[in-house]
Amino acid sequence: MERYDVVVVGSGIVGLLVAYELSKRGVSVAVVDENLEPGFGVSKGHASVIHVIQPPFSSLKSVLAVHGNKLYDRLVGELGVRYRRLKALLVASNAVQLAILPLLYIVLKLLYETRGFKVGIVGGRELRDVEPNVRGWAAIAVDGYAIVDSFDLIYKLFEACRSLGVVFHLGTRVTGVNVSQDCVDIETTRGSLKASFLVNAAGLNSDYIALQTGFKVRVEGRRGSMLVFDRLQVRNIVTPLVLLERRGTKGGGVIPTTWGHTIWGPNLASDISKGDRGVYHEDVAVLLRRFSRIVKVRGRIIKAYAGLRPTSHKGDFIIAYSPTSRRVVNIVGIDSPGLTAAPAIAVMVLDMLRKAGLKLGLKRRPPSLRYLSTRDKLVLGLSVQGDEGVIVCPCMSVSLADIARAVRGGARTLDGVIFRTKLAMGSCQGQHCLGRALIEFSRMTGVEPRYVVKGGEGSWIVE
Amino acid sequence: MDSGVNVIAGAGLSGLTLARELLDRGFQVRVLELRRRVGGISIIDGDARRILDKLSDIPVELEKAIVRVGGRTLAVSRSGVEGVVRGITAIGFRVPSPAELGILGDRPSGVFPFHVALDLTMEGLSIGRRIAIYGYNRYSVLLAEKLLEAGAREIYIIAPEKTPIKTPDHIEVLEGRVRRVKGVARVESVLVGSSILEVDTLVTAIFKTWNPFPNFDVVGHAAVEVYEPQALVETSKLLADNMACESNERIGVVVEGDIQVFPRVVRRCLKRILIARPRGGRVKVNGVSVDLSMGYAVVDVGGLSSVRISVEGV
Ligand SMILES: Cc1cc2nc3c(=O)[nH]c(=O)nc-3n(C[C@H](O)[C@H](O)[C@H](O)COP(=O)(O)OP(=O)(O)OC[C@H]3O[C@@H](n4cnc5c(N)ncnc54)[C@H](O)[C@@H]3O)c2cc1C
Repeated sequence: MERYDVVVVGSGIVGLLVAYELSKRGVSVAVVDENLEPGFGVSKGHASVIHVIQPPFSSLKSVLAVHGNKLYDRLVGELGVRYRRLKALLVASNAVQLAILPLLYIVLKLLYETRGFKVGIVGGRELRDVEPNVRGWAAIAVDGYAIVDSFDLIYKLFEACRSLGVVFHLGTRVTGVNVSQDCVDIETTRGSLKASFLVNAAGLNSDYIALQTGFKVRVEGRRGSMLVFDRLQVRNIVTPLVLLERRGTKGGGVIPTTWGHTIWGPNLASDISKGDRGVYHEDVAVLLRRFSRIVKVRGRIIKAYAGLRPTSHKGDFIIAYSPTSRRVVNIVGIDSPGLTAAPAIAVMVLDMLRKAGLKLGLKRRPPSLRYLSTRDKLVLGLSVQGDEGVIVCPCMSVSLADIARAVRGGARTLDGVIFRTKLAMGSCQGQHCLGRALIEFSRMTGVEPRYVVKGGEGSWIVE
Repeated sequence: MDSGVNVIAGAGLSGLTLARELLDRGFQVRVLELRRRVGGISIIDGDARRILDKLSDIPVELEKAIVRVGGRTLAVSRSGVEGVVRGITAIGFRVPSPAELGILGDRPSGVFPFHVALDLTMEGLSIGRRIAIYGYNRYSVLLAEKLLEAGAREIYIIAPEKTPIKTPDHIEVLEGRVRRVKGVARVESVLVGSSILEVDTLVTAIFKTWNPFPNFDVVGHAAVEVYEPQALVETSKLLADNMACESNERIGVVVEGDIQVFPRVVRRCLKRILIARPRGGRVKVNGVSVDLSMGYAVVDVGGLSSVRISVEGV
């Protein structure tokens, strides 16, 4: 039986960062995930914002978000991930909002500046200069936010982990965990694994894994829906200035992406479900109503998608040993802003593992994963040749060479190629490229087209 | 790229007929095509193929894409990158995304834009057994026939609104709007109006015009929503005439209602223009009634300095 120092359940942003930090310190790590590709859980359906603090400010969530935020610059620098710092603008677009602006400014200044995030006021004219598409009289500007290309982050982490020796068991579901005095036995759908320590980073399923080790917690999925437009509408994150919001209409903003699109959302749906990632007409109506008041629509809606936030029964992140053994560290209820907090969660988990007896070596340098995609080269005015010049997706300038790199990087599904290359993510949503992409992916991997899946098991594309 | 050459993006029916018309008028042209074949979506259209067959002598640079990146328009191929300043968009229709069409719900495998369904079928691959095609027009009917030939068991065409076109008896046409897709891994059903249709595949076959390249002229399906192959040929002839016209004087065109006019800018020496309205009906052109039951008509505007077009009976 394979034995590792640490087995991590879950290859979302949290599991990958834990595995990455451990492997840099010479620890032998295996990551188990039921999906065919890393990051296909909650981590594929979020808004890609690096947040600042989160109310309530004394929560673990908020403390880790602040810490995580500060760790991001280094992390993305190390991996060469697309990323940009920006502000959040809370926009007053009516008299009531304008009236509460000064008060809110003072409150936010007190709260945010003690934690290192600057707060300022933007007047009407300046607002129009900075954000010509935004309708508003004035705004409060909060520094320290960022947007990240989260797919780039996930897949660079995956590649870095692999080259640091992390073993991935994908398409493998953990069905049982047995903790004994000196080791942890992990039952999976494809055999069992042994480890000295187990890290439970199973997202929406983290309560199930925790329960296997005697830790009683509950996780619910709270749906958030988002719309994507094919043009940049704003430079910063823009959101209406409101004091209190009802559930169901709360949250989100107008968010630029690192690749030139705009996201509206996410909202927080009022119903609760673990499985339903569907988008509903009511949710879309909420988003349209909320944000069309403050921004002028530019571009077309090219996508509506939803994600589920794994929220714990406490409402806060729960990061704790199992009650019977310090060989298991549970990371439960990592809802928003879990992407932001993830680097800080990894630091905390490493510390807990060390205290429980895991030996950490000296930090190794991660491999360099910098490369230029065909699109990058064209943007920079560089020339391209051979397969780089064979454009498959004209909207996003994705070439045969980019698809080949995705395959080398471990893509096993068509979505895996799409997320790695941005193929089919542009204005024409795959109209001109998905057919060819399937044929080429099949040719490069040697998997017949009828066995290629879109994402999950059973998601066949052709027969 | 040589600015004396007219670059045509797309070797479909309109790109190729435009190339022929321009060559006949003494222009230099280059036809660039993204795919490894010519013909675009007309490849399944018998009437269009008869025209295409006569255009096989026109040189086409295959696997050469026009892309817009970093504020520039480039022609990219295996042999490198060329800057393009001006050209003509002949890239055909755009298929709006499901979200844009108001189709929400799950995001399983089995939802294909028309072109993908066509590309895969042309590769000899079967895209599904029970297939709903959303959009009722010449191309959705042609695709339905093609899919039946390729072995699909059930085909439903879903018409978002009443359209006056003929369908063969063996294809079922349902009326309504597709509102949701349901399915975890693969499409399990679609919600049409308030009824559930159990299918494993949804093809979106609703078409819009578009021109992603600034400074490019535009022709064919990228310019007007017409469905008759002959209408595409007409747009090419009109654009070629318009380009050949020396005078910069224009005919003022005023349009009332959901009517499309081609070309957008009409030069004085252009004798005819194309008027399109997919819903059909009749329009008045300077007071004269014109029948649009084919979805389009080419009307004489020779000698006029302005044209007023409005929907009849509104
Ligand atoms: C709509 C929405 C918007 C959001 N926006 C933001 C944002 O802008 N900024 C931000 O900071 N955060 C945001 N978040 C939060 C963020 O997305 C999550 O906190 C983060 O992705 C959680 O990562 P994770 O690794 O914990 O979970 P996941 O990504 O879900 O990873 C868990 C993995 O465990 C695997 N797994 C589960 N059970 C098993 C099992 N039994 N065996 C094997 N594998 C298993 C799953 O397949 C999955 O891949 C958003 C969340 C949502 C839903």
